[in-house]
Amino acid sequence: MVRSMIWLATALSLLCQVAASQTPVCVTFGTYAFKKPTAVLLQFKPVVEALEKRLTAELGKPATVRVKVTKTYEECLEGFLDGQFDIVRFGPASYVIAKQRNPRIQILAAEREDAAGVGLIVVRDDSPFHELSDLVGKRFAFGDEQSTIGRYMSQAELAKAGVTSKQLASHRFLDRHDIVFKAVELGDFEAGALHLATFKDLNSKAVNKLRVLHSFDNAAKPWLARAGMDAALVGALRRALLAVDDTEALKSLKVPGFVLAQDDEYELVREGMKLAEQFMPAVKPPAQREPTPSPAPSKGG
Amino acid sequence: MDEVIATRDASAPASRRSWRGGIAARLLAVLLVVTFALTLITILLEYRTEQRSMREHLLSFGRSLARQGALACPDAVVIFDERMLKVFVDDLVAGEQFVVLAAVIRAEDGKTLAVSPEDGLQRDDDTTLRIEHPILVERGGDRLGTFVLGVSMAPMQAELGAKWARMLTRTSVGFLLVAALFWIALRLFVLRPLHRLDDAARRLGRGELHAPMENLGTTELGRLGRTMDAMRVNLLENHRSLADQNRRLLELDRLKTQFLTNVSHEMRTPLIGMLGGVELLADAPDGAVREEVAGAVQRSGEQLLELVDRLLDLAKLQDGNLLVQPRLCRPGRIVREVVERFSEAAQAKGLVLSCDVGELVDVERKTDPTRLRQVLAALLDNAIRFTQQGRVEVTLRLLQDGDGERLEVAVQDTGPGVPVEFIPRMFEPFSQADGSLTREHSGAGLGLTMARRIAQCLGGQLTVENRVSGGVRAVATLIVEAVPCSAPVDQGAEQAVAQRILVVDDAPDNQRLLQAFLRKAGFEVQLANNGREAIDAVQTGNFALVLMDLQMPVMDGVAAIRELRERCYTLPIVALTAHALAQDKQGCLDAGADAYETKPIAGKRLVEVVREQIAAKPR
Repeated sequence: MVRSMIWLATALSLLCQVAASQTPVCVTFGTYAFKKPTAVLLQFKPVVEALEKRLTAELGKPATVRVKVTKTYEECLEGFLDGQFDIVRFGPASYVIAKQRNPRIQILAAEREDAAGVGLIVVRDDSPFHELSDLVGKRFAFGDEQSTIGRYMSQAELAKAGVTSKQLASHRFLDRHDIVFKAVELGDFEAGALHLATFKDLNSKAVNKLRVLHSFDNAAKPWLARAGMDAALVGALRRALLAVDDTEALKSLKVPGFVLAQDDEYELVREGMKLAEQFMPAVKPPAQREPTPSPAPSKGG
Repeated sequence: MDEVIATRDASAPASRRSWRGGIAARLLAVLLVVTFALTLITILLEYRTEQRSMREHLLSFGRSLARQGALACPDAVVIFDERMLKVFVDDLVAGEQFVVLAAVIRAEDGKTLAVSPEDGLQRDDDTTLRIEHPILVERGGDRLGTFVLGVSMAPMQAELGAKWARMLTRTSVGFLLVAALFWIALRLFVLRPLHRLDDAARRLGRGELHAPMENLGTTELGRLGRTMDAMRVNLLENHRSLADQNRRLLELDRLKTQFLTNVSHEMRTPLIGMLGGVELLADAPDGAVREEVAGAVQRSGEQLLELVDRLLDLAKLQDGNLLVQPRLCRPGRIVREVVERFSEAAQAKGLVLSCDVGELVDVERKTDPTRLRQVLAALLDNAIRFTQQGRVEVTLRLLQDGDGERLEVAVQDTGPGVPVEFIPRMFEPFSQADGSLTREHSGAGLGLTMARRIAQCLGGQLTVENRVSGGVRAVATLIVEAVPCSAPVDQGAEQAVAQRILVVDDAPDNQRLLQAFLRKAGFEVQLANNGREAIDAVQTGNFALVLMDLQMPVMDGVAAIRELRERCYTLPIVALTAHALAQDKQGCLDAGADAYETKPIAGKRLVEVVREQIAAKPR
């Protein structure tokens, strides 16, 4: 009788294991609406599907990746830190903030991109400014408040040049890099911070050409796993991300692929963020925001 | 004719007719019921169509609104922005509050993201349409959720109800207007003409035929009016015709009365002569007186017989039963013979009676000799009767024209002529120029009437005219038929056989009487008792004529005549019988008899007939 019970328990256990091994793994991918939510959804859909496919292969059982788009960066950050989202894709500055709040979060991989000199501070070509220090007393346009290039790194560069927010005539956060370009081109602001790709796209078509007053480096965007995630799943996710080679998926993300990344690769950003505090000591409450009707893609992250 | 034809139904009330319950009211009722039913059906169909159309429109509107809503909220659904979605659906419901009852946005997992109003789509009745539209991330993309819209049909139904009420009101007003117009048109185009027709019919009923119908147009009623008017005209003409005929009948009645008076007088005259003669014969002292009285009695009898014959002929003419038997004869001889008969009468009045037949004495033509004699006798009788002095001339001519040959017999006298006022009616029967009781000339007034009708029966005509030089000229033209020339008859041979007559009769008394008459006239007589004996006698003897009785034993007369004709016996056969019916005579003639005489027959008439037949049918 006892022997039978043992056999039965063993069989049930095996059965449960088999069933558990076949239970679909559901991973929630969180991001925020840095542009139109549906555009964000569509942008991430191919790469998420590719990731889903790779993850299924890695795990050897059905895996689904649900995309969850939050309205704001803060919601996304809070959701990630609260464990609502399993993985997220943040900008470098956001990663630094998140890591600061919960060191247990892990970098799965980073988007492969050449981050050297991608951050720019631009002025109109016909302007008399040649040094960052020339911008004292002038109006400056920033991107999003959470943007690495649009805010932290550019403010750090200004701070390095000895320019603080108080020395500027005014500064505003215009959310999107293309808006910053237009604002400078039209003369609403004497200078602005934006991504190199945006500059290249718009300057060739601009009536009033801009020129690069100053450029600076940035870090790649990391894909993060929440704190407490099963190590096997983390490993599987990492391998799956690194294995994504679907051209259409990578194209929608505008990166050639994923690479392994370490936390120390973001020291540059941490330093920049510290310097940015010198530019504008009181970060909160943020400066007056320019109202925007709808989010647009933010290249800088 | 201006008199009122009749006054029947004159007491009929002339009050206006009530058309209540009449054809107009029924027509109107039928029209109203049919129109109302059709209108109601039309309105109902229109209502249903409108309802369907409005429902489709509402559905289309709701779908469009749901589609727009679904297109507007994907971003908010993606980020689960319930506050924004709530504002959106609240605005949507508030903006279309008369139509949109509720709007609900559900996520793909079924979670309700926003609903307005708070109770949402709780109501589920016939007046609420539930419309769902998927919320897609992009066209043809993944489904994010569902946009649900509750659309109320109540406003539509209210509008439809109001529209129905307006339509019903307008239709009812239109219906009443149409009915009123129809009633006016009915009165104008149907009832009024009907009133007029009714009036006209009543006038016709009262016999007022002189007022013509008024023109009622070209409609059916107009045609009916014209038909009634034509009927009125016909009635008027018929009334006039009847009045004319009535007058003529009255005149005829008067003439017949006069005729009866004349006939009575004409019959009484010879009868008195005969009765008186018989009385004288009884007391006659010697043979000379007896012979003279017997002659007078015979003349009176012959006169009476002639009158009766004429009356019978007239009756036949009136009935259209006058038999005409054209056959080969010698008109010249017939004319001479008739003139000779009247020579004694002419001579008695001191008149000169002449006869001119020219070269026509022995010319043979085909006509009815008996009728020719009657015509000429009537003309001669009139001429001699009305001529007091002078002469009466008879001429016979044969005229040739494109239509053939005509025999013209003209009798002209030197009498007073025909009174002008009598000329139009001188051919009417029983009419006489002087119809008074004190008239100078006797006669029944039948001569010219009969002569003209006989002439017409022979294809000819009779005209009478006053001569400029005085007297009357009467001309009868008869169509005759020419025959091929035959060899001249040997007069001597004719005379030789003309003496021999075969009398066929089973009655001995009749045999003796006929034998006596014929022998007295110079004929030789042989007797036969029946048809068979007659046939045998004809085969052995050479007779100029056969007098054949009809009703006989062994073989009757008709059978004998038929057999004789079948045996090519061509000499004349005169049927002699007491049967006086027209069919008897026709039977004899059809069998092949040449003439037909009824018994009793006067000796003179017998001899005359025998001679006529022998003369008319030469061998």
